[in-house]
This record gives sequence, C-alpha cells and structure tokens, in this order.
Amino acid sequence: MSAAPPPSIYTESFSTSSNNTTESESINVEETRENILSGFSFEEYFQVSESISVIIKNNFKKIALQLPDYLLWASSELSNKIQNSVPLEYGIKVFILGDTSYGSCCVDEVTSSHLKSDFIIHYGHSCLSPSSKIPVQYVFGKKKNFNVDKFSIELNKLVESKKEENFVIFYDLLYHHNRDSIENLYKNNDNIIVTNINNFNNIYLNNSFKNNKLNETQNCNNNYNNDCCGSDNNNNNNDSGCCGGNNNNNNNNSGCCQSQSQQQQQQNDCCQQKLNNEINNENDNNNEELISGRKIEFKNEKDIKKFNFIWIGEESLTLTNLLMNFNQQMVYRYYIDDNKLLQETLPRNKSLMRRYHISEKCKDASIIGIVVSTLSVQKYSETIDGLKKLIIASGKKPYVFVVGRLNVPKLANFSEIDIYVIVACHENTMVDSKDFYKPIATPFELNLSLRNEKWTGEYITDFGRVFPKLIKDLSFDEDDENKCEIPEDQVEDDQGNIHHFSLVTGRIVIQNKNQSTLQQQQQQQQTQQSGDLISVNNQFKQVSLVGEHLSNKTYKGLDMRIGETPVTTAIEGMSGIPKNYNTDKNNL
Amino acid sequence: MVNFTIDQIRAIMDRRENIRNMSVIAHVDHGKTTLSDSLIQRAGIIADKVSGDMRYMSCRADEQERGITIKSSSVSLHFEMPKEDKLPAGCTSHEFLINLIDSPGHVDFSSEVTAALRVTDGALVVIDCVEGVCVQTETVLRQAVAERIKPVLFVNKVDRFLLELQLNTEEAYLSFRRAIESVNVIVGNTEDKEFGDVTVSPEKGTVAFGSGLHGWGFTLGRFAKLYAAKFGVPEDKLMGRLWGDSYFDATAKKWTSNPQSADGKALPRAFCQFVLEPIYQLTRAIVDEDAVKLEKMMKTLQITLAPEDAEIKGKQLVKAVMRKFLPAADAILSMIVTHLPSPLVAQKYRCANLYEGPMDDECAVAIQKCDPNGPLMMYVSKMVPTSDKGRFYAFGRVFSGIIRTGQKVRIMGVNYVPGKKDDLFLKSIQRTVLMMGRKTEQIEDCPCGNIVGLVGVDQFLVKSGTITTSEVAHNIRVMKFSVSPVVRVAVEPKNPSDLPKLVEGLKRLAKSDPCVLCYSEESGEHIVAGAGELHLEICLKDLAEDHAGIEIKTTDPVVSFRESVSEESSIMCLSKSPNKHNRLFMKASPISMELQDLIEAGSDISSKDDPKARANYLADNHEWDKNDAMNIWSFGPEGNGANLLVNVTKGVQYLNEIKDSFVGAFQWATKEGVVCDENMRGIRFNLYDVTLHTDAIHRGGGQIIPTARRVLYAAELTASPTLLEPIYLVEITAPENAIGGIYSVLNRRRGIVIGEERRIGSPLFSVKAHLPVLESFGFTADLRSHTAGQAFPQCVFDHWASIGVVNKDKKATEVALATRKRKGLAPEIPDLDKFHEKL
Ligand SMILES: Nc1nc2c(ncn2[C@@H]2O[C@H](COP(=O)(O)OP(=O)(O)OP(=O)(O)O)[C@@H](O)[C@H]2O)c(=O)[nH]1
Ligand SMILES: [Mg+2]
Repeated sequence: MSAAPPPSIYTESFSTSSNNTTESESINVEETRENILSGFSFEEYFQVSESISVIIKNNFKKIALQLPDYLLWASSELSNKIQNSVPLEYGIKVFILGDTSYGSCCVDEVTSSHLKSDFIIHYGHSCLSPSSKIPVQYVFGKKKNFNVDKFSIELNKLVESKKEENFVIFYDLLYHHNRDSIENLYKNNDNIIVTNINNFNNIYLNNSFKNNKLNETQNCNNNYNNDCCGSDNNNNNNDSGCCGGNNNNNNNNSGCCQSQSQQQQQQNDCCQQKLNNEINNENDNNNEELISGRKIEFKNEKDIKKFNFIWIGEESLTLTNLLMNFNQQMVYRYYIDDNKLLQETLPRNKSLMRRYHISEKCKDASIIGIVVSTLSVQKYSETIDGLKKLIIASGKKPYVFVVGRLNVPKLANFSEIDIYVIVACHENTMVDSKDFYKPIATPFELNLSLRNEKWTGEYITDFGRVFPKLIKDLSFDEDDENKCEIPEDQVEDDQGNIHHFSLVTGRIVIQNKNQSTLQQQQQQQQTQQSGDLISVNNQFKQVSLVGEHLSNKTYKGLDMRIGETPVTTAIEGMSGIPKNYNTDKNNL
Repeated sequence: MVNFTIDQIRAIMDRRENIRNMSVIAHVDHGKTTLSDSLIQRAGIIADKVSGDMRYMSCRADEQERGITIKSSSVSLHFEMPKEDKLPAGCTSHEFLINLIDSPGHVDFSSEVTAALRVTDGALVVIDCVEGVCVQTETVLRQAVAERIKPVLFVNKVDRFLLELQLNTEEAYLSFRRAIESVNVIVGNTEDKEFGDVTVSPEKGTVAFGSGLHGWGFTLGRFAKLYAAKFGVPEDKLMGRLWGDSYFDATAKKWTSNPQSADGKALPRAFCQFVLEPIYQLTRAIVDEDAVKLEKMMKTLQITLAPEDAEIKGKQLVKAVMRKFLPAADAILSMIVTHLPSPLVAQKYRCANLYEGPMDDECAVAIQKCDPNGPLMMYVSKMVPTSDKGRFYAFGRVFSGIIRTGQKVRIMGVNYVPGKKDDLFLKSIQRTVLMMGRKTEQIEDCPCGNIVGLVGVDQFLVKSGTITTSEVAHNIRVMKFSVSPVVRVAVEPKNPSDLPKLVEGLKRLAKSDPCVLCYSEESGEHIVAGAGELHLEICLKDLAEDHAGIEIKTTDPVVSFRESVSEESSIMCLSKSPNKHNRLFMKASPISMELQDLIEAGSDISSKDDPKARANYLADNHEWDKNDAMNIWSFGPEGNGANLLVNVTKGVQYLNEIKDSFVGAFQWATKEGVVCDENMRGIRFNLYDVTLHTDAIHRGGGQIIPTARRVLYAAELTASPTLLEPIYLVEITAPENAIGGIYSVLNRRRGIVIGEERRIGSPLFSVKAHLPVLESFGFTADLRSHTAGQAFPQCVFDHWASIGVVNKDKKATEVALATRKRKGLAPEIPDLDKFHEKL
C-alpha cells in the first residue's frame, strides 16, 4: 500500500492497513513512544484515570481496548494499568481488540460484541461516526505544540481582514484538550464558532440491546451522568430515528432519551441522526449542525454555507472531508509549528475532477461490487439495499462484498467487477489509491451517475446523507424536479439498450441494459399477471452480463485433460516460510 | 443558379453513371474555396438569394474572418453537358449530378481532407501557378492516390501572371509545365495496377488553367474546338498539338516540333500562340483601354457583355470579359464529368481498398457493382453539426443498397468485430438529408453512389463507422489520417460545478472533428489533443463558445510522451505476491523502432493476426525466435499497443490459470508506466519463470494482478528506461536570404535539418527538419519574426524519438519529473525496491 504516492489531496485512509506488517517490525518502540507521548505522561496521554472512573461508575465488566496500529505498542501497558487500577471486587476483564475489521477510526462494534464486551475504549483518531450498540469512550490522544495565544493573534488578523464574515473552527482531535481555552477566547464573538465534540466519552447503555440483540429498533437510554462529558448539552434533537426505528420520532423526551428528560438534560447526542442531516436541516431546530461528527452551535448566522472554515492541525482525512464537502467555501488551515494561518491550497478542484471521473466510470460499468466497509455506521444495511436496487434498476449487476479491511489483493480477486462502490464511514469513503485494480466509487458518486443527476458542485462523503436520495424511486417521472433531462449523449437503440459516449474509454458504451424493454414488458404483463416471467427474464439478463465476461477469458476453470498430460513422479517441493524458503538460500 | 425541386434532384440521384463525387484539394490558400464558390454560382442546385462575393462554402464565422477553411463542406451541383459534346463512356444522359466537397488546405485540418476523400471518387487538385506544388499539395495528392481517388488539375491564379507579374507567355508555359510535372512525379510512381494511370496532362484534357477569383478557366479542348475548323484538324488531335514542344509554322502551314520555322525564324510555342496570346491580348486591350482592339477581338471571339457590364473598366472588365469568353465553371465541370469516374466505375477498383471483409461476400459484391438492390453499405466519414446543439448529421457515402428513412440498420463502430456484439447497434434511420453547403434538404431515401447526411445515428458513432443491413458485413476500413493529435492541453472549468457542462462539451467536440481527441485521464484531468497549434486553438475556442458554453481554464500545451527501454533488464526481476507464495520472474528488452511503428500502424503485424502467421513473419523479418514469437500473450495497452508480453517459461504448472490476470496487469501497466504514468511503447516483457502456490485459492487474481504489475514495473526500471517524445517533420519554404534565420530558430529549438533544396524554377528554398513537438509551441511565430515573415513552416507528426535515459540523462529526468508533478504523482520516480524483491 505504501507504494502509493501521497495523493494530491490527503486520502490515505487505509494506509496503515494490514499487508506491510513486515516493515513495521523494525520500529523502535522507545522512539515511537517518545514521539507520540510528546511530553505527556502515559496516564495523561491515554486518560487512564478517566477511563477507570467511568468503568467504576457504570459498573462495566468487559472492557475492550481498540488501538490503531501506531498505538499498538502501548496496548499491554494500558490493559495492565486499567485492569490493575480497578479494585478487584468489580471483577472487570480488559482485553485488547486485535486486527480491527475496518478503518481504525471506526469503533469496532462487531468484534467487541463477539467478545460480549459492554464497554469499548477507542484510542487514537476517530471519525466520530455514530455507533449505537455498545458504549464507547474516545481517547484521542494529545499534542502539546498548540499555543492558544499565538493562534488567536493569527486568527484575529484574519478576522480583521474579513469583517462581517463568519468563521467556524475545526481542530484535529489531538487538540481537543485545547478546545475550551479557544472557546473561552471567542465566547462573546458572534461571528466565530468553535466546534465541539460532545460525544467525547459518549457513553450510553442500550438496555434493550441486551434483551434483544436482533431488534433493530432499540431505544437508547442514556444512563450516563454528565461528569464525563465535558460540555453541557443542549441538543434538542427531534430525530430519534437514529435509534433505528422512527417510532420515537418527535418525541425527544421519551423512549430513546428517557433518562435525559429525567436529568433535565437532553443528552441525546448519542442519537447522531443529526449527522445524517448536516445540511438539509429540516428540523425546527436549526440552531446547530453536526459536521464530521462535530457539533456547531450557531450564534447569529445559521447557514453553514456562509462560513469560512478554520482547521487547526495537520493534513488529515477530516480536513479532506471538509474540503470536499464544502468545496465552495474558504478553508484556512492553521499551521501550528509555523504559526501561520493560510488559505488551504490543497488542489480541491483536481480532487473533485478526479472524483467526477470515477463517477463517470460508474456509467460505463456493467458489474458493480458493493464493498461493505462498516458494520456499525447507521443505515449501512439500508444503504447497501438502496445501492443494490439502484444498480439493478440501471440494468447493471451488483455483488456485495464483505472483505473486512480493504486492501489491493482482496479486491483484485474479482476481475469481473468493473467498479466498486464502498459503504464506509465518511472518512474512509474516498479511496484514491492508484494501486487498486479497479476504481472505488462512493455511494454519492454512484447515485449521481446512475440517476443522471446534474452535479451542482456538491459533494457528500457521508452515505447517511446520500441515503435519502438513494431510496428515491428510480422513476423516470417528468415532474420529478431532481431528475435532470436525459443527457444528450445518452441514446437508446431499437432493442431498448441505453448507450452513452464515454470520455473515459472514448467509445460508445452500453450504460443501461434493456431497461425500457423490461419496463415495457412489465407494463404489458402487469395486466397479464405473470410477474414471475419478468423476474426470470431479469435474472437471465444479469447472468448474461457475467457470461459475456467469462467468454472473454482464456482460462475458464479446471480442465482435467485426463490422459493428455504425462504422468510424472512427485518431487519434493519447497519448505519453510514463503517469504524466504529454506531452499532460497541455496539459490543465491 | 439552377433551381430544382427535391424530386428532380432525387431522380438524378438514381442515375449512378451520371454522378460524380469529387473533392477539391490543395495547399492552403491556393484558392479552393473561391473556385468552389464560382462553380456553385453557375451550377448550384438550390437557388440562394445571397450571391456575389459571399463565400458560400465557409459556414463558420471564423472561416469568414480568417479567410481560411476549417471544416470541409459539401454541395451538390447540376451540370448539363452541351448537347454537341461527346458523352463520356457509359453515360446515358447529358445531365450530371456533381457532389463537390471543398476541403481545408492547412495541415492541421488534414483529417478533414481524409474524410472528404473517403466519400468521393475524384479530386480536383488546385495549384497556385505562382507558388507551384507545395508541401500540402503533395500530402493530399499522395493520400488521394492511396485511397484510389483520380485527380484532375486546375492551375489557378493565372490572372496574376497576366496582371501582376506580367510574365511573358513562354515563361507562363514553363511554369505551368513545371507544376504539372511535379504533380505527375507524385501521382505517377504508384505501382497500383488495378488503379491504373493517374497522371494528368493538358492534352488529355485533365488539366485546366484559369482564375477562380475571376471566374474564368479553360481546358485545351475549349481552344481545340475554337481552332478545329480553321486548321481542319479534329479536336482531339488538335488538343495534342496545343501543348508541349509543338509549333505552327505559319509560312509552311505545317505543325512541327521544331521551334524554328522552315525559314529559320523562331516560332512561338503553339500553346503560347493559340491559347495564351488571345487571353493576353484581350487583357492588354482592356488594361490599355484600347477600345477599338477590344471590340474587334470580342467580335471574333463572339463575346457579348451583359448590358449592366457596359460601364465597367479595368480589372473588373477583364473579369467580365474573360468570364464570358472562358467560363470557368463550364470548363471545369465538363472536365470533371469527362475525366473523373462515376461511382459505378470507381467502386469496382476502390472496393478492395475500402472493405475489410472477403471480396466475395454479398457486401463486397454489391459495393463493386454499386448495386442499389444489394445490402446497404454506407460509410460515415464525419459528423456535421446541426442547428440542434449537440446533435450531428452523420455524413457519408452510400456504397451499395439504398438508405431510407425508417429503415432498420446495423451501426458498426470502429471496434466492431464480425460476429461479436461490441460496438454494434441496431437502430432505425430517423431522416436522410442532402447536404447543401450550409443548408440541408430532406429526402425520402438515398441510393448508392451518393453522399448523404443521416439524422439519428450520430449518438452511436464516435466519429465514423459503417452502416449496413447485412448481418455478415465487415467494417469499411477506418480512415488513416496523415496527422496525429500530439499537442495536448488539459482543460478545466473556471467553476468546478461546471464540470458536467465541460464533459458534455468535450463529447460534442470529440464528434465535431475527425481528428481531435478528447478524453479524461485517471487523474481526472480532461485532455484535448489536436494536430497542431492552430487546430487546438480552433477546438478550444469551439469548446468554450459553442460546445460547453462555459469559461474554461487551459493549461499550457503539453506533449504526451512514451515510456520505453533501451537495453535488456540488467537483472532478473522478481516480485512476490502479497501472500509471498507466488513469484514472478521477468526481464524487459527493447523492441526495434521499425517493429514498433509496424505494430502501431497495425498493417503488417497486429494483435488480430493468426499467431502462426505472425510468428513466421516475426522470425523472417525481425529476427525473432520463432518459439518466442508463438508465445506472445498480449499486445498492450488497449490490446493493440506496441508493447509485447512474451511467455518464455518452460513447463510451468498452472500457468494457463494466471494468464488472464497477467494480461490484465500488463494492459494496466503499459497504459500507466512506472516512470511518469505515460503509455509505454516498444517494450518487450519476457516472463521467464513463475512459481505458483499449488492451491488455487492462493494464486487468484488478487495475488497475481498487483504482483504482475510490480514485476513489469521492475523490469521496466532495470532496462534503462527512456522517454520517447514525438517529433514533427517540418517543411519550411522561404527565399534564400531567410535561410539563416530558419537555421538559427531551428537550432534553438533542438531542430535537426535533414534536407535543403531549391524548388525547381522558383527563388524559393525548402528546408526539411525534425523538430521535437515539445519545442514547437510558438515556432511559427518565432520563425516569421526571424525571417521578416518570409518563411512558412508546415509541421506534421513524424516519429517518436528518445530524449534519453531516465535517472541518467538530465533532460529525460527533468521531463519525467515535470510530468509527474503535473499529474499530481509523488515527486520522485519510484525506487526499484518497491517492485523488485530479493530471493
Ligand atoms: N489573384 C487571384 N487570387 C485568388 C484566386 N483564387 C483565390 N485567390 C485568393 O487567394 C486567397 C485564398 O483563397 P481561398 O479560396 O480562401 O483559398 P483556399 O484554398 O480555400 O484556402 P484554405 O481553404 O484556407 O486552404 C484569397 O485571398 C483569394 O481571394 C485567383 O484565381 N486569383
Ligand atoms: Mg478554403
């Protein structure tokens, strides 16, 4: 994976994934430790005491520690510390989660629930994607190099030059511990907002989960008391749909957030539904928004499109995400070490153009692989279903892949697939590495291209926000306003196949196999009530897509060729480990 | 102009023997459009209210502004031969339908000429008598002959000899003869037996002289007719005497080939005396305002001026008188109908050149006979924009059968392979139209032998293709352009949200021009590539203003490079699969430049060949080991490029299972080379050995594809990788005193002079040089400013040449790094360690 050059815009989401463990062997643990702790003590950095008090308070028993690769060196020390610091009578059991299933930024609820743990401590960078099944404590880590005063001088300069404009400050999670001091400086400035992360130590227990694991419509009862949560919470969230079912809708004081109403505190930030509505804020309450898992409490100006963005920290996926999702807005980045606040110069347009290119490729594809890269982000299964339906309705063939952590060899195994679409947390949604044999699109891109929707410059990495569009009927209704007119290069032949001119291949390619004939048949046969026939028909066509592919292969499967090959005696093969067989040395 | 109803025209279209399809071709500015206009004025079928100096054939505003043709355009003419003239062989009536296509003369638009030649059977070659045969004249002539298009010649701008340069008649004759000889040198040395003799000569009537601008012109036949009675010699015999070393001894009343009369006086050449002299005298009489002489001459020549011309004087009068005396249209049109072949005649010998399939299948037979009852075979050679934005008429020639509105046809793109479904579309024809300059007329159907426009098939073809009703039909051969799109720019919208509009615009642009290349790269960059600076400029202007209608940012022109190798890999490269169970061993080595070119031309050797025949060919002609040649797994990129994957392993188990994966990786790697992501060219990859895990699950595509790509990259890196750059062949014409300036400009731009010669009979020199395309931006302007505007270059892509070894030679490394930067790749060329593993 590391063969990939740093892309034009930071998207190395899976850079630390599996394969190259060989290279990490040589890492000097002492040095790493020094570098990472950067002056904090081990306890401070990993917020050990906070974890312990939460465990004791909530009487958690089985505690799972999830560490990203770069923190693995600390795992045993951490688990020992926690295990030994909680009095024996609590009977806790601490364990370390091994290879995580997906991106290390996502809470690995699946593995944890296999282990029946009731509490996860997630270390390192997080995408802050909502997780709903098991309570989580986030420990982001810390860095000391940020100086609030220096920063404010720079920011004031900028604000001065742009009077009347609004600013919203985002920061790398490593600087979360500095957040309150920044907030203090700008508390009274109506034009500057500091984002907050109020699900830090996002702990809520799902009682119903314990009772009925399969019940998707759980209620989340927040029995968490607020001393862990650094901030006062006034999230008046009407969207309790996050809790799976919509039965609690518009009822924020009951069901899902019962305990909160008792506490006179609307602690339903657990219900991250807001995340799915970042922009289309249809709620009555538009005083706040969630962007990249961060909450923005609006002061005067309530339209996020009218803000300038400030980012504190290094290049990161979060920044990339902001740049892509808010590609019309100014984004400034504070370079901590240089103490400079500069307009972010990452080539956004290039990146958008590249993504658009991938979206165009979706049209050319006839077989599309849906790669499931999360089993915890909300609505993932609905999204997969939506994608499947959309792909089928477009006359293409979908396959669903659950490959765990994404890597090049895994996806290269399926040469029939023309393009993949990934269902992952918003930070891992854009996979830009050139090493993948076939490109990987996002649900947003797939939806855009298969529906022929007009791209307005908008970009959405969060599939939760794409979802409402996705489930819209793929109707060819004239009056549907979001449906743009048929592109001029799209054309239907006498057999009802739809073709278009692809700039990617420079050819006229089939885009939509026989869709309208299918529809026609459907209409005809609706009266004749022979629906079975259609599905058979449909099935047949999809099979034929794959069949065409097979016919182009030279190797079509095992071929016994009995009697055609001479019989030979067995000889001794190689032995040892493949990386370096015992016999290799002799060859040298 | 003749005014016809569509029904009348349609009726003529059925008489195949009375149809002539021809293009007007020449060097830039030699007067094609002016001449075509004068023909239209005389014989255009549809009356056009606006007439006069209006350039009928220039439809585009920029063509009118620049006075240069950019797109070819077609028009139908009706010509009625004088009743007393002898009908050409096989013709049944005196009425002819002439479909004329005016083509551009600038090299950058050569592809338009190619597209025009494809649908016509004859060519009217226009030559400026002052400039003579120029570079582009030569290029288009060669192309015409290669397509089996018969030429006739029009020596143009003769008025300049008379009025401006005041050459005497003998000088004029000599310069005519030179022009004709130069043409015959070019067309004469074809060894194409089936096609026959295509040289032109005045005495055969295949050369006309005149002035397109003034609307006069003649063939020797015109004068032969005039003098036949007087000399009592039959016309065709007399024609022969009016050209060449032929003199008339008036005292002896004898024709002789001796320039001296019997009594020793110098004789004027017959051509000068009988042909040029009357013209000269007439002109002189007008210019000198010698009214008496003029009137006398007009009387003997039976010229009567129209009443409205009574008042005019000087040049205008010359024009009016000459037009009456020697109407250009009559001379040229009758030369065309007499000497250019009808479709019926031409398709007999053109078929073998046109059709890819066997010469005895139903389509070939029908084409050869130009059979309206045979299966439909039509070739679409280009797209002509309609008034409906983004939609095009598919413009082409019906070679057999009849195409009609509503007919169900098979549309076959260039990638169609008989029996397969790729690039094949079934569709009904929406409408058929006649193309008339900037106008169109709807017709119900169109029989073979004619040129027609189709509505409703444009979206199934990228630029060109075959339309047929026969299920066994093969494609009509794709056109070979003399230019290639080597100059590229990346375009992006000022406003990113205009991307969809840009993409739509690029798709339109791609269709509207036979040669332009529009595509999007993996990096998301949108590329427009053209044949030269002017071509690109016009394309980008069209893109911004018409096709996309948005503001566009354009990068500086860039050149596409090719990655190649110069030696065999220094080591045996090894890559192991991610699970380490599979090992691939490979070396790369260079393919000879000659073979690379052959593969790219696709003529002598291609991926489609029968492997055995190919192996024999390679062994016999290119010193390949026959065994190796039998084991070529693949050509790449795109399945047909000039890189070869050769399996030289011996007895490797399961090898057949990984072949597909390996070939996939090979296509991928040759498309995006390791040095700077450019296409590879001329690399032979030899797969020496493979160790595979015995368990199929551990040697799947996932293990093989990325590994194969890595080992290919390692092989490239270890074989002294080079970069190839495209090189133009430039031909510069200039007077002697400008030569110094030319050399210094060429020197500064890494140009290499390969030849310099004086143009026979002119003060001009022509310099030939190789110039890297990379250095060609602004070359024309630079050259002009260094030669006081006297030098005119013409650049055509010629070949690829190495810039040097990457990571060793400075220039090559610089170029590689710059390309990486532009593409947003990691700034360094990747290390071998990333791809090659030690045992
Ligand atoms: N003196 C003279 N000038 C002519 C004659 N024919 C054309 N010209 C001039 O030559 C110039 C070029 O004429 P065009 O007809 O545009 O030439 P063209 O071959 O169509 O040029 P391209 O299409 O750009 O290759 C114009 O300025 C004409 O007026 C002629 O017979 N005599
Ligand atoms: Mg012209």
